[in-house]
Amino acid sequence: MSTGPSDEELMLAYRAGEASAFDALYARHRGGVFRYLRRQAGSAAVAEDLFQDVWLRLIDARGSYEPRARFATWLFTIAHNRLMDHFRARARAALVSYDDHPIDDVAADTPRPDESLARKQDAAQLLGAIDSLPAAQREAFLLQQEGELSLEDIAAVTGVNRETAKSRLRYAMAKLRAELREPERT
Amino acid sequence: MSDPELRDPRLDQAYRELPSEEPPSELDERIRAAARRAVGARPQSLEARERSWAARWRVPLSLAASVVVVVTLTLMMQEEERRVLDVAPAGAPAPSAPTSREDRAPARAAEEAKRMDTEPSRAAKPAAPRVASPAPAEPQRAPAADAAAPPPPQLEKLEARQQRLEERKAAGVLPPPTIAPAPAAKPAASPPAAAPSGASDSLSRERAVGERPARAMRSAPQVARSPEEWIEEIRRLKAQGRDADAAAELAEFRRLHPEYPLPVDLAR
Repeated sequence: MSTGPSDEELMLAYRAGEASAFDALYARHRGGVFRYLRRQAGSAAVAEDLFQDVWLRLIDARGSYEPRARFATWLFTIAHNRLMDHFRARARAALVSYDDHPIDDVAADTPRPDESLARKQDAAQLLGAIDSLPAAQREAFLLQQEGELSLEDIAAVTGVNRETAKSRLRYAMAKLRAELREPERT
Repeated sequence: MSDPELRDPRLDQAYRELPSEEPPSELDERIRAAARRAVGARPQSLEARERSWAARWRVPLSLAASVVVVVTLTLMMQEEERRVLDVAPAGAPAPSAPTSREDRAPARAAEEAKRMDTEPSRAAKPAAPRVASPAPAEPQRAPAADAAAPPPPQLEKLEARQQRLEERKAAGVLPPPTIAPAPAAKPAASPPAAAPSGASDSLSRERAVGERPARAMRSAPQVARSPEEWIEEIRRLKAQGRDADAAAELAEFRRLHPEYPLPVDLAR
């Protein structure tokens, strides 16, 4: 965890007009937000556009910010909403597949992570495994890894209840663990 | 994470070892610049905007209000000084014109009172001490006014009446209080009058003088006679054979001068 002022204190300071507080916040969260968008959008150029929009929305909404929840939850909620707008605008197939699939369907539709990981056996293969996850499960995993969000926060960001968020995350982890085990066997 | 089964250290480690993708530096700079511009333009919440407006204008507004107050007071003082200087030569000669601030105060107060009378609208202005100050100015003007003013009419009448009484006393018109007009023919009808003490007694006596009979008027000069002269007059009346008159005069003499020793020729 970072030392010094909390994210919420920095955001309140920026709302009061302190520009340096925004720089500190941005330095803390720029990488996580960008990777979340990059691995969801699939394109670096699209991710950059979405990334800029997310921070500009935060700047515009600073006057209404109240520290009712963690700052990271608020920030990734903005990112999630912007990503959903992007999916809807692009009518991408990922938007259609964003809804939860039965685990059997997911297993049938996507390549097996362990097979993919066994083929590549490097970090890039893990990325491939992440990419192969259904969008909802991938998002839950990315929010956990990049935003350090709890189950409750993930549920709040994605607009589902806690059990749904937990189920998504559990399935994603199970698939990725299987990908990680495969190289050890080989 | 509240659920331990939802955290896998090996998976976390593998994810952290992935190549770290970051936004390009130019994108970072654009976003930071936008954040700084937003703060510089202060598009904040309404409450914060009101606070910043008040903080921004507090000092200029305070300075402007102070300047207005100072200029107003200066103009008011200059106007008052000019008014005092304009009035001073007309009211008094130069040597007696007040020089100190304290000396000028009554004159200024009087002038202020005069101005208040002629300009009623100014009386409503917040100059309460000046409105109350004309009172001390009145004694300053009072002596001169009394010297030039005529005496009250009633006082004049009393003084004139006393003067007339004095003149009449000196002329002998009024009898002395001890000598009441007593006709010789009717000595019992004119009891001695009590000593007068007031102006009303003098007036009643004056009326009595006007109603006195001719004989009393004739005997009036006798009132001023000395006892010796009165004795001689009685002797002359007896010598002339006017015994009745002589007896009446003698009786009157005895009534008025009971202790006076009568001569032998008249004591019989």
